Formats: sequence, C-alpha cells, structure tokens
Amino acid sequence: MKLKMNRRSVLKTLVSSAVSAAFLRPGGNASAHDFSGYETNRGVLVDLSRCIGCRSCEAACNREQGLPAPHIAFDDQSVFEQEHSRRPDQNAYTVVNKYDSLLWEHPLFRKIQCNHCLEPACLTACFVNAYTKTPEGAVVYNADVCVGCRTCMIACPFSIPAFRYDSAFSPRIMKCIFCYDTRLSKGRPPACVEACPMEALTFGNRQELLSIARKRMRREPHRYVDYIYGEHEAGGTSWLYISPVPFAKAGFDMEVPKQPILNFVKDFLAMVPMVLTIWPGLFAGIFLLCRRRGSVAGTGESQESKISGEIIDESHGE
Amino acid sequence: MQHSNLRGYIILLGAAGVLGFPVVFQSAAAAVQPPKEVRIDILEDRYGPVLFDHELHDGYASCVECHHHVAGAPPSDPVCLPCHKEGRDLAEIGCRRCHAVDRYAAIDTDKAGRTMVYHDDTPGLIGAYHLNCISCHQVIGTGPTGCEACHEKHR
Repeated sequence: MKLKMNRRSVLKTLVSSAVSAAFLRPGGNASAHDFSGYETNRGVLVDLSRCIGCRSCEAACNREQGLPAPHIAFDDQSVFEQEHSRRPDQNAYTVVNKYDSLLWEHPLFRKIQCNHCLEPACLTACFVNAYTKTPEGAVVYNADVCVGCRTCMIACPFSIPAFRYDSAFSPRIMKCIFCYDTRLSKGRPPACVEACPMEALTFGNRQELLSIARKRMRREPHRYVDYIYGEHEAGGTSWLYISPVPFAKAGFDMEVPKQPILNFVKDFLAMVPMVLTIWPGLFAGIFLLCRRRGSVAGTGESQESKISGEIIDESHGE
Repeated sequence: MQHSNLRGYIILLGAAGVLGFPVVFQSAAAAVQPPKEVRIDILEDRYGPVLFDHELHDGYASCVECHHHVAGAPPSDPVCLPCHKEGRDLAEIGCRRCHAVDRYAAIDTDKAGRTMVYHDDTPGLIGAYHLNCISCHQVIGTGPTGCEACHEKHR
C-alpha cells in the first residue's frame, strides 16, 4: 500500500512539473526571438507635405510591374473625386488617395502600398513559406508554392495583399514587392521613388531615413506632426511616413498594434508542439495508470476478501 | 561608412581646389548678366522643354531664394546661416552643381554631399525644381502648380 502511494506521488510531481514548465515560460521564449530588422533594411520615407497627387508613382509602378492598363488614365486627376478610398488591388500595387484637410494649406495625398514590415504578418501566417523577407528589406512572394489559402490577406494589418480572383488558371496573390527583382536587388530605388517629381518619396537605409525624418521635423516643426508612422507600427515597417496633419486625418489606421503581429500568437504557437507531442503521451499514461489502478485495486479487494475469508474459515475451524 | 566619409571629403577637397579658380575671378563672374530665359530640357524625351522666365522671377523673388548661398548674398533660410553667414559668389551657380541629376547614382550621392552632417537630405535636381517652384507658387498664390502648365505633352 505504501509503495503504491509513493509511485503515484512521484508521477504526480513529474507531470505537474512538466506542465508548469511548458506553461510558465512565455517571457523567456519571446525575448529570445526578438528581431528588430536587418541592418541592411532599405526603406522609403514618404513626406505627405510634399505630395501633389500627380500619380506618377502609380504610372511608374504599373509600367515596371507590367500590370494591366488602368480604368482611369494616370494623368486624370478626376480619379480622386470618383473614388475616394481606393485600395491596392490585383491591377495596382500602389494607389494614391486624396484627403482634404482644413489643417493644411493644400489637399493631402497619401500613397498606399505594401509597407514591407520588419516582421511581416503575411510571412508568419503563410504555412507554405511563400513569402520571404530579403536582407534588403523587401517582402517578396513566390506564386509557385502558394496554395491560395489567402491567410496572408487576413493577417496583414494594412490589408495589402490582393488576390487575382479573375484568373481561373493562374490565381495568385498580387502585392508590391519593392521592385525587388528589377531594382532593389541591384541597389536601385523602386520605380515609384524614381518617378516622384516632388521627392515626396526618399529611398535609403531605414535607419538613415528615420534620422532624416527627425531632422525635417526639427527644422520645420510647423510643417510636421511629431510622429513617424511606421517606426513602431506592426513592429516597424520599411516604409515610413511623416505628415503635416494628424495621421488619422489622412486615412492612416492608428489602431495597428505597436508590436509585430507575430507576438500575439507566439505564445500560443509555442504551445502547439507541446500539445501535439506531450499531450498524447501524458493522457495515454494517465488513462493507463487509472486503468491499472482500477485493476490493481480490484485484485487487492478480492485478495483481502480471500484473506478475511480464510480468517473466517480459520475462526470457523476453531 | 568610414570609407564613404573619407571619399566624400576627398571629393570635396578636390572640388574646392578646382572651384578656387572661378572664385578668384568672381568680380568678372558677377559682371555676367543673368539669363533672360532658362531652357530646362532634361526630360525632353517625355515632355516639351520648360522655358523658365528668369527675368520675370527676378521681380518676384530675391536671388537667394533659389541660389541659396552661392549668389554672393546671405541665404534666406535661417538654418543655413550658421555656416554660410556671408554667402559665396561662385561663377557656376546653376542648380545641377549641387542638386544631382540622378540622386541615387553613386557619383551623384557623393556630389550631393549626402554623407555630410547638414547636407544629407539635399534633393535631386528634379526634386529641387518642383519643391522650390510649386511650393513658392502655392504660397504666393500665382504661377503654375499643375503638371501640364509647365510640362507640355508630346503629341
């Protein structure tokens, strides 16, 4: 009897320590994988106070990436009145929207494209590794391995990846790739940056762009709100924005978390291997133990009755 | 980084040596009358040339609004003043002397002085034109701000 209790308590201790070890170490695990971007991460600084909405970037992107001709010609400014909040889609990797603000001397224009996060949510959500974060900072996509699950479209905090629904034979994700193949990998700025006549887009090393942005703010404090959108959004993005009006007034989503989207699922994902490997063995063990205990208890009972029977018999014999 | 800094300074020293000569003849240079009209045609493959009426703008803006600290007077931007208190009178004061035609080409990156402490955000030539022209036209409320007012489309 004493022996059985001992074994059970040993097992109990083992199991409880294993479970607590698996559950009570999220902090250590997360900090071990902290990643603040490649040192060679290139980026683009977008200065909203400079943009005049000429749509040269849209035209340059369309030509560079061989995208279909637009419904409304690129030199037609009426697009801003016809469609107020356009989004990048399968036919356009970048779009410019107009925002009228009383806070600034002229209408503001905001260019939208993939922000090329330092820790991309699309990449971490993709279970076939169709996305790659290159050391230059681009988040590129490989259509050959993509299975078309579109999880990346849901994962992206900026709603950037679009799906080519209208192509039955070559459906794929369509998104800005920072002109990686044709330009970025050769050290050249993307087509949109080169086309921008106002130099509202500045290409460079992300760290240098941050210092340029701060310098512009310090030099002309009346011209900018004291915030760099993209410095911390979604854990930091390669594309950075400075604006003369509060960012929410220019259509920016200020609800985007200030840490990588991956952080929200990291702890849960760390548990998955444990659930898949430890739990089956653990519960099978508990089940077997319970059954054995039941059977051992059963035989013990019968032995006890036998013994008492014998005693009774013996007493009867006396 | 160290290397590119060094290279920047060497180029700067070289440029200073070369530019020393025109400075000697600055009085002769100043005697040169400013052009009546400047023809800007670096994008002639895409648009018609821009004919900039230099004489007209002489009445609207002082020389330093566009020529900063190289036209013989103190610059109008207070940020520039601590270093360029007096301004220099160079013989060559065209925009592309400092504003790179291709701001991301390695040679122009050095030319624009992007490695220096204060000149690390110098616009390229196209940016310098548009930023200065359109911004000023917006502020004074006259002069073209749209694309085709300056850039005639090729038919």
